[in-house]
Amino acid sequence: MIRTVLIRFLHLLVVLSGILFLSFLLIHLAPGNFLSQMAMNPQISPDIIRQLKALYGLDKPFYVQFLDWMVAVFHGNLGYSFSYHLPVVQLLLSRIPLTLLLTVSAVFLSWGMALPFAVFGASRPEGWLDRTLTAFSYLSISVPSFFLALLGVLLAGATGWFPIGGARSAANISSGGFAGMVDLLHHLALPAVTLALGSFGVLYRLMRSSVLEVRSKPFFAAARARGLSNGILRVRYLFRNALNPLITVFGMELGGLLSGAAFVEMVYAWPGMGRLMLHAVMTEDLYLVMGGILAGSVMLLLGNMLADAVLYFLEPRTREGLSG
Amino acid sequence: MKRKSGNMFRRAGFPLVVLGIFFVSGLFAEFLAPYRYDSVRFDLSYMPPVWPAFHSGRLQVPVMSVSDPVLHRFRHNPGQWVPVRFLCRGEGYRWMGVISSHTHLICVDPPGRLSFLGLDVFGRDLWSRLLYGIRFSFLLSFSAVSLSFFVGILAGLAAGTGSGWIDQLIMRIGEIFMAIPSLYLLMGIRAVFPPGLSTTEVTLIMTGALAFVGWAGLARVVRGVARSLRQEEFVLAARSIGVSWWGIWGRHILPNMSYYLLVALTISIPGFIVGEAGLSFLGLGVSEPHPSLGNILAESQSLPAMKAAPWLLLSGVVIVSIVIVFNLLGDRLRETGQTGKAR
Repeated sequence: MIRTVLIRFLHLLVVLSGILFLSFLLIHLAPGNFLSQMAMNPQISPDIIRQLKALYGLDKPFYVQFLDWMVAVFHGNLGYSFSYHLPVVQLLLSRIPLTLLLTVSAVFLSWGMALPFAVFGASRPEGWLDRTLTAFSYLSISVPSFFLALLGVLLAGATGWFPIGGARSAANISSGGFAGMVDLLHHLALPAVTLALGSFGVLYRLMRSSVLEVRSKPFFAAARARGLSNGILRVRYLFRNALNPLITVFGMELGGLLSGAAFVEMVYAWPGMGRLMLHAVMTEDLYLVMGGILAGSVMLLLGNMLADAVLYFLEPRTREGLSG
Repeated sequence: MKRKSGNMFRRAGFPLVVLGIFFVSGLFAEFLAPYRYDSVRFDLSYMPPVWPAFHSGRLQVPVMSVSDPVLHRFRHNPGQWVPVRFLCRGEGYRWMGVISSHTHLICVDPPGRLSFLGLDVFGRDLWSRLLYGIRFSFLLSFSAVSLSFFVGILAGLAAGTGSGWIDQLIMRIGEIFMAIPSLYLLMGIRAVFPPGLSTTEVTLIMTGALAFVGWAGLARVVRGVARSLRQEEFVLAARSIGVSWWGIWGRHILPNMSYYLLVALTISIPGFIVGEAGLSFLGLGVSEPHPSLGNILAESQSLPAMKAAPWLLLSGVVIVSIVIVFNLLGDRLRETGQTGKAR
């Protein structure tokens, strides 16, 4: 068990260093560095540029620069953002909670909708509920998140029910406590629902086929023959057993959700990671871009690990495999 | 074999027909569009759809002019009609950049303006721009998909049939790509290049970037299939008579997974179309005046624009329909494949 966890952890480190290398390579490939702007200034002599290059280690070979940078990253230093004039880490830390809030609420909403619906929908395959939901999930898979978000903006504009832009109203930006919480939730509602609707489709289809498979198993027929009530059958037999394959795909689902969240953030002006990244790309703030890629990947990897851990507790068979 | 493919096309009929319509409209965009994508009419900004109607015995278009430039209200100039002509001489173009022509399916003389789906802020015809946009999206996503499949299949085959360390190396690299949320990686790649590049350059970059992001998933699955196929006796037999791995890939492994690859191709195209549209929507892709489905949609990003010209949202509807059709096609193909196997 401990050995497996350690191997997993080592594996994670390898993937993380790979991501670091890839993002460092991207920056290295970009034409120029943050001194090129200065080098074009006739008032700064080439000598000073050379000194600055030596100071920042830009004259060293590629691999030395990469190793230096790796060391810095593991010390929690991701560089400096030249468009915000702030350390990248500080910027990321101010935005990550909002993206996490959006993504996690969307996960709860979409799983909370898709799983129960799938259990009911699949209990009468090709019935009216199942047909409606299948058609709806087809739509949900096919509508890109940015288009759905535009429609959401249209809805908000037409009805005035939801505020658009930011995570808090300007009026009570500093008010804490209950009022501040309500305000935040009010701003969160539309982006979170948009994101959740987008991932409903995949979940519904997966859960539906999973439930159908469980329903065809002999143990389910046996449980039914013993006269268990529909409620117990659904919760303890169907839901519980059909859930596991879905947890495995949670990781893949999360990647799409993070990308989708970035789109949703940009359309609704939700101040999260996605918007930060877009701004960084537009202003060629490469260290911030790199930090964003890193932060996105870490969120995705942690989500995957969480899914593995949950599966470990829910599914005895994975424990069996791990101890061996 | 013949029966199976006939069955396949019968089942996939509806999505294939719709797809064909999209394909043809993109292919003959210059001919089907009454105007060029950058043909502006600043006096007709946000003009709503105006359809030809029968007037004094022939098909004519009412000539419109602005009555309220702030709220974008238009009125019909009383008594002014312009006849609609078919297969007529209009703005010149080079079809696919090669064949020069002036012939359009439908045109009217100025000051009349055809506006099947409305005009945008510069008075450009949305219908024409959508046609060009569909062509661009198809062109870009097909080339990105081909590139990504080429790399993905090659990597998957190498990993699936190669020795242990090649397999490990390729799969670990693939894992790194899959561990980065795709939009983040796309934005990162775009950040390497300076903003404000020409459309050709951006198109090449986007094709490369989408392929770069997409190859890993396919490589993983191809590897799995290749792994199981390499145990098969016909592969062992080919190996034993000294056929090279290239020969085995081409003659034995690829043909055996061709149907699977066809399905994979069909269901991965929507991802590329949405990817292109998304990047252009964010302003990281094709820029004005060149139309793509994404940047037409981006024109309606602000609430005032949405209220003045809700028809610009139609490009989103086009994206959704293309994606639905590809998904339907993929599902049909997959089901046919399964029943084919069962038989």
